[in-house]
Amino acid sequence: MIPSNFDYQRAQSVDDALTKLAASGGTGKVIAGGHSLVPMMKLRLHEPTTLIDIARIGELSGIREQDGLIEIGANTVHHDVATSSLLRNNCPIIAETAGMIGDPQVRNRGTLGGSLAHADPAADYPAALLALDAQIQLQGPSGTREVAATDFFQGLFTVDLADNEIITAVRFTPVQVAAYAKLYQRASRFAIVGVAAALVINQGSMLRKPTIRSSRIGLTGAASHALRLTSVEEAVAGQAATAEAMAQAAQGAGAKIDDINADLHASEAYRRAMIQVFTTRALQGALARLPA
Amino acid sequence: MNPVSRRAFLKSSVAVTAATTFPRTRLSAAGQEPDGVPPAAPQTTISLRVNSERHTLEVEDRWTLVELLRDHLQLTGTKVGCDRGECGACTVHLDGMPVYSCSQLAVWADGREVTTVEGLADGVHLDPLQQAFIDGDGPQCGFCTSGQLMSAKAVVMTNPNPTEDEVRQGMAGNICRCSNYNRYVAAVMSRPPQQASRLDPLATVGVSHPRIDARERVTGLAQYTGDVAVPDMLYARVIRSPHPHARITRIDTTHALEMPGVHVVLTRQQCDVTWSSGDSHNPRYLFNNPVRFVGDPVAAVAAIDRHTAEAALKVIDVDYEPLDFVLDHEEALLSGIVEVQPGGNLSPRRDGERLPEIYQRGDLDVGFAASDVIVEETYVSKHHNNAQMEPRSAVAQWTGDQLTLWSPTQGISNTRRDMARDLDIPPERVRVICQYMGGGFGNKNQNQDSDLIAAVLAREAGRPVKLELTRKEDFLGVHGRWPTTQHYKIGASRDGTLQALQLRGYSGMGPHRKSSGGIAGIELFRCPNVRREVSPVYTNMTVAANFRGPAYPQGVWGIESVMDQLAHELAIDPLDFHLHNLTREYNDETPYTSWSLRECITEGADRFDWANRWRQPNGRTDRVARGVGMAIGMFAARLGRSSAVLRLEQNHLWLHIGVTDIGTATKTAMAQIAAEAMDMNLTDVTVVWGDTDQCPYSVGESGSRTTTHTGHAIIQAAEDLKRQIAALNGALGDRPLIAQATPEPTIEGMARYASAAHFVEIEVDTELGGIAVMQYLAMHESGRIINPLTAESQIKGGVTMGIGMALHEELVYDRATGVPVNPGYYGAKVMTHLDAPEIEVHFIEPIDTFGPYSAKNVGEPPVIPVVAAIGNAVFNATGRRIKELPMTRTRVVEALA
Ligand SMILES: Cc1cc2nc3c(=O)[nH]c(=O)nc-3n(C[C@H](O)[C@H](O)[C@H](O)COP(=O)(O)OP(=O)(O)OC[C@H]3O[C@@H](n4cnc5c(N)ncnc54)[C@H](O)[C@@H]3O)c2cc1C
Ligand code: FES
Ligand code: FES
Repeated sequence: MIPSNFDYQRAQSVDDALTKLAASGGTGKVIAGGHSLVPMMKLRLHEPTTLIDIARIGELSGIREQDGLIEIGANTVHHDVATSSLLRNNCPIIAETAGMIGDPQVRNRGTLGGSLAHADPAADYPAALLALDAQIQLQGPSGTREVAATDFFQGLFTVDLADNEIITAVRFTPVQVAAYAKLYQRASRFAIVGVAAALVINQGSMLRKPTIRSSRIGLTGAASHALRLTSVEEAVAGQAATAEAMAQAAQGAGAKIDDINADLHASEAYRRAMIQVFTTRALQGALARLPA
Repeated sequence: MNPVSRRAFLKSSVAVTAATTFPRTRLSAAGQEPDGVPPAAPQTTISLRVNSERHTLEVEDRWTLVELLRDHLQLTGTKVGCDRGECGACTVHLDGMPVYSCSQLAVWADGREVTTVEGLADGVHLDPLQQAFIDGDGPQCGFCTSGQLMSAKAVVMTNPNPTEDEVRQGMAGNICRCSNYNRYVAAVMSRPPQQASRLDPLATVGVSHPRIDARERVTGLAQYTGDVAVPDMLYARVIRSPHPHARITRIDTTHALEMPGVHVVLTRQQCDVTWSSGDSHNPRYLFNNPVRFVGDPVAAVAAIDRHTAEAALKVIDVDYEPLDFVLDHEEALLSGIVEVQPGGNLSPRRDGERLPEIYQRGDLDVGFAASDVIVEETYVSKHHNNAQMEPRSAVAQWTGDQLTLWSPTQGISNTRRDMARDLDIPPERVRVICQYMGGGFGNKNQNQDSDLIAAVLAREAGRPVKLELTRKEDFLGVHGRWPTTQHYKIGASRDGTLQALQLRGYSGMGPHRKSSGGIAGIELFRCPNVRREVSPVYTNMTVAANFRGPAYPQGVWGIESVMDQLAHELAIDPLDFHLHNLTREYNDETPYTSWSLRECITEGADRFDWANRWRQPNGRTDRVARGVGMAIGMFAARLGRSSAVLRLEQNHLWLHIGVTDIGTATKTAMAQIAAEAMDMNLTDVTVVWGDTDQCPYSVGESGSRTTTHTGHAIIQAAEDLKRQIAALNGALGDRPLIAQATPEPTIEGMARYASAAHFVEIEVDTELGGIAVMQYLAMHESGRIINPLTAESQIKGGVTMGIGMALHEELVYDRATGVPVNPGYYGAKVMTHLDAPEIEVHFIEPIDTFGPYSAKNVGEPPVIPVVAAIGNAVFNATGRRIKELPMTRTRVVEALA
């Protein structure tokens, strides 16, 4: 429970961080909130020789709205996302997700960028970002690039992020009719199964009930990495915007995924059953956000 | 923002700017180490404010914030319970927000404001929350209290009138293993505690009183073993076996010994000290070969600081030759299975015979022949870790041939005896000090291997040594509740009368026999034909031994489940079935000094409105199924030898007793008994405790014995003192008067037990398999309650622990490798604020003159009926019985499928 030696460097800007990262010759790591990295270093699962602190880079923090897009800086801590009135009003699912992470101490230090880079299969944000079709902004020695959430999460603790890159922000179009539903692990509060659903609605009229035009559904906790529940997305399309129709569409959710996790928190069979339960709850939760 | 000046690879002397404290260990080592000083780690200069005081200091980059606070700024009120962001004991405020100081680097605090528990009070004026924690009995052992306070403070800073749920959410990151969650939440909600004695209170006894040491526990001033620092102290770490069973073929310590800053490396080759309390049947060395469980100590290092000690561990080469292993206690008895200990896996009886422990009366064949209904069922309980908040630690210092040991023990007298025996020195050369300790629940009764390892390292090094186990080491290297398999066959006649009762049980003790391994509970029932056969078995799981209520919680779960089933098959209300079959004599033969079990059941049932709430299970599967359950329990309230010394000086009473107060408010209860016996005010009594040089023998704080044993000694000494006073005819003067007593009261031919009946309503979410406790009523008889306030906290905590055991706590093993996969708070799913329901507590208080002021015992009984009550409620709700613990969501869903 004692980390090996490392040299601490504080980056003043993204460019500075990238320079320091390059100079470390592959043995450096950036640190933001440290709530994933420090425990790993204590267990010596990571032994970086240089630790580059990006937590004070101002340009990486904050929540902004511009041209109809919302951008959350990578350094923004979960607490700030959970309590942001901009997000609560315009895109409640993301605030809701952040508020369900861990406990206050973790939310006060853990960051969005850290969570995405760490890519714990039970992390919460990935589901919401898939449902929001978010774009992840990266910066590296050769400039910036943008990766869609769908392409970003690739495998167990594996994302589309090179060793010499850092995540700078996440950008998405706000969605009102979206919700996150999660089965908590006891104690740690990580997701055994977490489902985020965002719906596009065909408004009803006097003569026609509202229906679901399309949806995006992100699943976390269940497999080696977060992924979209495309078969449910298809099943939902065109359905009436009712709780029963949502439960119907969620039937068999995740049945096609073949690498469902089995661990001390839940068996594979249990997780499979929960994917359906929580897909239903997320879809119904989203519907409940339909303006009256 | 402050610019950072970095000076990497400084020489080891530490540059510290004005007005700050500095790293003790390093400074003392600078330039004077015979064996050199480890190369300096990279450092950074930071400026921060801690509790409003500005510090500019050089910190090593690798230090965590808690390391800076505790080791270098001597702010030891902040505790380390897990060192990995799970338990919350280390919570401090960073710029006003609660954070885990174990998961922050110290350098991050640069330019920021840190507030610790020491900064809450304004001089002598406590923060209102601290006062609320005192009045509402927040701290039991107190080890989690600083963290609870810091989280609570953050809640009320942002929201002065929080709801109960907001308080729980705000404190969700703070585990309390004493499980005093109800008290903490009530204190934050400013809800005053209610409990009062049912008997007419005496002057002091029977009156609710905040703990006499509560102030120390809420201000961070209480000194726990890990807070002790002595000059020139070295820091120790232990290597443990990664294999469940292996022969060590080679240990190479050369590289470690060559490392600058390393003083001693110990292995089995240099150390043949045995830890006799670790195994009553087989020699158990401090370092064993073969190693017999994952976590078995292999070697230990003492070095100049914790980082060097850790680095040294990494360069010790150990070659293991893996051996076959066995985890399951029934499998271990099959022929052809590897022997965990020489001679076989059935642990021998006291008489040396390798036979199960057998209790028998009547004739089973006759009983079953007379039975109309027979139930045959098997129940399986799991290894369940004590997980006390304070990980095992020890500080050992030799002055010549005199050992001073600071240890978080449940019994200083026992520990002194054990240390002397194991180190082969006279007891008078051992001094054991334990001022405050962070819980044990039965796993700190005797001396610990950590005590011995620290003592031997210190003797070899010629310098004091501190050893602190990590949370993982504490989970694996110490012990938990023994897992059991219980095969029952029970018969009754149609009228609901028990005719035959058979238990064949197996307990997995791990590779060492520390405790009985018993499976208790059948003695609660009247039955003419009984046979109980229990086999304590050696396995390669982690060691199992006493944990609160030792043999009962798992045994009562089994027997009470089977009884519930039998009542069901006979179509009798389980309450009536109990009342019909209770025994008024222990094992149907030994009379009780007083017996209130029946009253516990009937009064509990009335309060719970059992008659209107219990319904035959209907097996319906609503999405949310509600059900009620009940179960009973008893626990011995023994009497025995203990001592007390009373010193009256200028109208003030000094009470010298060898207790340590493990969170049970023993010191307060003892002071109340002394005040009562001497007819004095409680404020005129000072307790001197926790130091074998200042206190006489006291029975260890285990088996819920202290109140009765040591309480009697106090009363007897007080009688002597009062006689002395009377003899002086009022001419007391300044002369100190001293009285001491070591009574050994007995209850010849009788049994003395506390009893309990619990009633619970639960909801089962049949979709998720989740079980939620909706209402919990604990009806207890523990003789006269000395301090209703703190006694109720004990019950609440015990019940809450029992709920964890019932629903989710377990040390899980990978069967293929024999490696436990979830040591730690999160992995083993220890109860949190979010899991803990409100527990309603009532006491029946009979007069039982065998106890001091009629007191019996409080600590262990509350955990005993819980698992059974919940299991029976699950059956009532769903028509299904879950026969393997814990009743996890997965198991519930499977059972309902
Ligand atoms: C007790 C506890 C409970 C938790 N519960 C939950 C939970 O319920 N749900 C949940 O989702 N998470 C949970 N977490 C994880 C938590 O959210 C972490 O804080 C988060 O995953 C990591 O963020 P961080 O800022 O602390 O990252 P760090 O620990 O600083 O870094 C993590 C990794 O990300 C890299 N990194 C950090 N920032 C960047 C960046 N901008 N660009 C590139 N790489 C970067 C680091 O190099 C490192 O490899 C929990 C953690 C703890 C300790
Ligand atoms: S010690 Fe920091 S959370 Fe447990
Ligand atoms: S008082 Fe909370 S752990 Fe003991």
